[in-house]
Amino acid sequence: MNFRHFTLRSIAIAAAVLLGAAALTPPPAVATHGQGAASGILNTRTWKVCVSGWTAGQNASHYAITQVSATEVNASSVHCPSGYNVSSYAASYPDTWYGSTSCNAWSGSRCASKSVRLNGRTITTTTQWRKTATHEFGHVAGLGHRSTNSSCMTQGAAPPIVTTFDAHDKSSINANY
Amino acid sequence: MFNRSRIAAALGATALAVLMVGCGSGQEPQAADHDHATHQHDDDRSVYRHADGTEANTDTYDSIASADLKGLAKASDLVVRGQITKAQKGVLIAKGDPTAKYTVFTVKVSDTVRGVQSQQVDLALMTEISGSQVVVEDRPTPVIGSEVILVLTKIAPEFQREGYVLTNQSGLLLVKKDGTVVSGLDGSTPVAKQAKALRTADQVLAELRSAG
Repeated sequence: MNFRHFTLRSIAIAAAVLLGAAALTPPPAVATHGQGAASGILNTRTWKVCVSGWTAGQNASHYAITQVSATEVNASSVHCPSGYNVSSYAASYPDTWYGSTSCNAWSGSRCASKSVRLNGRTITTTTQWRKTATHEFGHVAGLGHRSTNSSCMTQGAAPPIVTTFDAHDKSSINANY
Repeated sequence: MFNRSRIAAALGATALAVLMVGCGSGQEPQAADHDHATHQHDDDRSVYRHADGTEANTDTYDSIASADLKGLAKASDLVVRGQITKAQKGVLIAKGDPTAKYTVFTVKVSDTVRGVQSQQVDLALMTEISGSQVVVEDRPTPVIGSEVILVLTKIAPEFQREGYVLTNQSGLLLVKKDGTVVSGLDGSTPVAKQAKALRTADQVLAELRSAG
């Protein structure tokens, strides 16, 4: 057995071991934020939020600011109409959705300015207002939708109406920044 | 020896590839990996874009979520197939938000699956926010001439406008010339997955009709 023969056999054995290990290794726990927010991730963790529109929506947006501030994000409300990178506006829309978040300006692969809309026509309770505002702020941070009872990032009207981010959400937000 | 070295190299490369794919496949991409500029999808993205302006990529929090075709139809006032004959842009419908503009699409109805029959209906879609064109990945963007299947909810009386909105963002499916349907990107919603499996407009309509 010469050295070359030995090396080739070693590579083949190592490859077989690696293949076997790959086959036996269970997949990592699946994160459930899908591909993240279609509106991307706000490009800074310093959020200056312009809050306006219906009073109930403003209150909910201030609540959401406290929720997202429990992460690496440093969010604060600022005077409108200038000097903000997030706007949260509550009005009455004919659509069936509770809320929406859009990226208004891209900066490379991240979003430089996001706007949140809260639908005062479809949201009828304080809990739903809070959930919707926090949910939309999750999109501002780049989170996608989830299917779990522990997070505000679920869709639909079905209870439980969770108004907070769970540990997975917070960790995902922190990972984005 | 040449063959052995090639076999060993191939095995090594295969093992590495399997390990790399394995590490990635069980873990959904984090949001940080979402690159708007280069993100690729299996479907034809052109139907999700507006061709004439900047984009406002939008996430919506639907009040009716995760419904399949039958569930969506049951939650709806009207389900039709038809063709877009007119599109009126820049319409203000939302109360208290002048930055949200709608396009009102007039649809010539060829088949009413559910609800009151009529020859044409109006669909209001929010298509512009603060001057940017709205793009929702769960929803294709129709143009004049598009053949569509629509799952609709009547606009609330407070807006004093006859017409409909989508029951959720999956409620708009485009029918291609070959009779197949296009819904959300990558089968991103239950409806999109179902539509992809059913393939044709006739099959989708049959499923919608089964909602009664």
